[in-house]
Amino acid sequence: MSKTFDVRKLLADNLVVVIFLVITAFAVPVSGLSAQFIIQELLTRIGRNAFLVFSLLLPIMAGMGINFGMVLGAMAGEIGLIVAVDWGILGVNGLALAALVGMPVAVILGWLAGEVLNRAKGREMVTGYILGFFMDGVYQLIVLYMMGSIIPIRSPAITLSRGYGIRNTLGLDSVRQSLDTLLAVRIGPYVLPMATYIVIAFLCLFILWFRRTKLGQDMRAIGQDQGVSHSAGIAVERTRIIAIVISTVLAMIGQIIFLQNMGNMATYNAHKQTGFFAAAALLVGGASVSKATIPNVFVGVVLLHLMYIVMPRAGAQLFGQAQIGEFFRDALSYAAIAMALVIYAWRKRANAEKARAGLRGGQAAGGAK
Amino acid sequence: MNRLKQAVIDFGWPRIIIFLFVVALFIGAPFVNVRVDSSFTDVFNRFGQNAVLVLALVPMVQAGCGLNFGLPVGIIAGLLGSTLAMEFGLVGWAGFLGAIGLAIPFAAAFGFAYGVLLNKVKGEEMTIAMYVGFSIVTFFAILWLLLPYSSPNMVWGYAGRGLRTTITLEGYWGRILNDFLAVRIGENFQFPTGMILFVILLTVLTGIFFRSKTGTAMTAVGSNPDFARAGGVSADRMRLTSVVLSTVIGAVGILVYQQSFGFIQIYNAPLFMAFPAVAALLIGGASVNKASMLNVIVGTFLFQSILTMTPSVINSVLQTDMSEVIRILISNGMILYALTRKTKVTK
Amino acid sequence: MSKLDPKKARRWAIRAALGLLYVVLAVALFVTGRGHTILVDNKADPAGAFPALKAAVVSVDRQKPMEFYPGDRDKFIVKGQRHVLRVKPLAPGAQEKVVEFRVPLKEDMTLVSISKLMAGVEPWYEPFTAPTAQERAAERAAADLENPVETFGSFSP
Repeated sequence: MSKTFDVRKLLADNLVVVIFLVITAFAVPVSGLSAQFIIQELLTRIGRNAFLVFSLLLPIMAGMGINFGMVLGAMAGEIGLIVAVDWGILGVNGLALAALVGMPVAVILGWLAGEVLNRAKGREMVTGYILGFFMDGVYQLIVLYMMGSIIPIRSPAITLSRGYGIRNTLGLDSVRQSLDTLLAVRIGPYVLPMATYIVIAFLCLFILWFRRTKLGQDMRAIGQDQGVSHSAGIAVERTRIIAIVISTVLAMIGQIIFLQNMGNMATYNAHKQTGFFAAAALLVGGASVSKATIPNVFVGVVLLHLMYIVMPRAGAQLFGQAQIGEFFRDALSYAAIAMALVIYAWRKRANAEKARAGLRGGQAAGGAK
Repeated sequence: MNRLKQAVIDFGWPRIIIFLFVVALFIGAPFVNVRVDSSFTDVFNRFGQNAVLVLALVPMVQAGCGLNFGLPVGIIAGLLGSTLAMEFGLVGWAGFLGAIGLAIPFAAAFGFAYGVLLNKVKGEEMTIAMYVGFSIVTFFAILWLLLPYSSPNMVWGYAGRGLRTTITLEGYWGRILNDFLAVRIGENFQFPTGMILFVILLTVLTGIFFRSKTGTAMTAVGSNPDFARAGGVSADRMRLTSVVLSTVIGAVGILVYQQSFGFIQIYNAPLFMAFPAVAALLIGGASVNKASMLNVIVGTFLFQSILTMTPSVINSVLQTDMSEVIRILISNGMILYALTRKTKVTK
Repeated sequence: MSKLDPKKARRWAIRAALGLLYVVLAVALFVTGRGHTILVDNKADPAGAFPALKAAVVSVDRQKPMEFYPGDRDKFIVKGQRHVLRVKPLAPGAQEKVVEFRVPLKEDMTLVSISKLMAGVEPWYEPFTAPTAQERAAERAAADLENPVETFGSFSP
């Protein structure tokens, strides 16, 4: 009896992963892409995206759900890159300088986000999402109107022809792939961006270490039960804000890593889908709104991006239109998030009701259904 | 004086600021060579265009389901209705009413499924609603390409199948409500009487609904679930009803929008349509769990006034086009304000 | 409590140290990472004081060497301020000249004239500002005035 229950529970816990695996397993052969191409793409994409997904871990640990406000960190990173490119700082120096410049911006924005989210307890995810939109407006105000006019910009090559505002596409040739190629290693037919991987490894170590610090333990406690933590003397509000600040800073660095790999920055669009992609990856990796581990990050990035690589081609082969593959890919990603959220909320309620029924000593719960 | 202060605090400073801002725009318009009469025409047109979509949000708010970020579900039903009506070759009033008639069963079905889903997930409904909405829009994007539509006005000319992204309603039922009994004053002012009458009709009907037994039960479930339960009202059934109602009104809403706008927009267009509606409702004084007809009317009017007047006035003053940024800041700022207010009813 | 409280003082010291580290790091990254464009020129002096080199191989730092003939102009993109310039004329028995030079931090582009360098004329490098699109259009207009372009006449009667 317990054996079958275990399999069912395992399935229920990882339903989203399973569904993704099944669909992708079908799509891979249909797409007609070679295994070598897929593997190389995956290796590149892990380097490019993993850092961003990591930034979501701490707020989940602190019980704040998916921090869609990480988009603010991405914007901070972009501002840092604009400065680095404007001053013509090349290579890894440029990236590091961008991160240094973006750091105070990310901290301030993260603090702001934390304060806002603290005022919206119980609806952090929606609020974070809308906050991201709002900040996009502020970002445009700064980058499209103030840069070049009130904020001095040195090189006319990156401003719009009207004299102020940054161009729609910022060429990142000065720092293009500088982290990736810093320590590129060839293994067989594959090229691995080792430097990027090392950075990600350091991040993993940081998170593992952080979890053991007092601050990390405090965050976990808050994630479990806010009331109890408050009685235990933990500064709940402040710790939540710190979780968001760290998340925002990590998102800033992650976006810089992402953009250096892309080589080009869509100044006004690059950050728009960041939160969604990171959240989708994490959830597809088996995480939930209240629990996310490091393996979830890697499994999720691989699965999500495998689907992203394969689906458009599969759609083209099956229906003669790649567009369908793209739509299907988008629909599946959105549905995956919706499904993960639904399963999580459903089980939370089921557990709460079970607990309540247990308290009542097993008596049937009264009242309307 | 205290009552005035209390009213101000309740209404909220951001709303007062927005209201004064709109008034300032209207006063300032003539000074920057913006014609007031054509501005008013635009405002009335956009008001009618969007009001029903905003109205669609009210049932779910009252029932305690939060802001319906899943409005795209109803919008898709409306799109199905209008594309099918066009495919069947219905024109004029037959087209518009036919679209409504075709859309409502879809909306009811979709709304039912959506409502059942929401009932299982009380808490963070809004995020789930958002992603359910996104999923349905992108899923239907696939269908728009695959379904066997054949009317030459709707499909891509080259391939012969698959709907176009934007389909014009000219020759079908474009502007049919707007032009019905329209009042023209001078060359630049036209009041879209038909559409405004339709909006008023729907608003009144909804208002009557909320005074009915079901309506008051719905409100009770949203504001005081224990009291409702004591009175024998099933919270789940009321919530389900509210979602279905919301979805159906949403379907009608997009049809009103389409006929005024003149085009059917599919594929990714409906993805973010819930957000302006939510912002408008909140600007009108609603909160996350309480919304009235007045909120709908006032909110839509204020919000659309800003969207209409800002480009013309501010751009003339500053000599740049800042309308997009201002729109983003105001609409999202308003939603943020509502989401971060301490509500009297605990969740 | 006053700032002399040992715990608080330690906190402020750490914060100050971090701030200092931040500034030092930023400056170091900036100075070592600043990119410059070295434009290398091989033009004879219009007044005839020195000739253009007939043929020479030029390299900057460890980048790929480039060949220069009279009138050529090419560019090297470099990082940082101190650079080594190698000029080796291709005439048999000619000496290679190796010089170290510094590019000022603020300069985006520097123009190096190898003809001046080999002739021993100082200074052989100077800052260079690229003309804006408007200036270039004005240049072209002025050049057109000096050398009128021949047309084939109108094609219509």
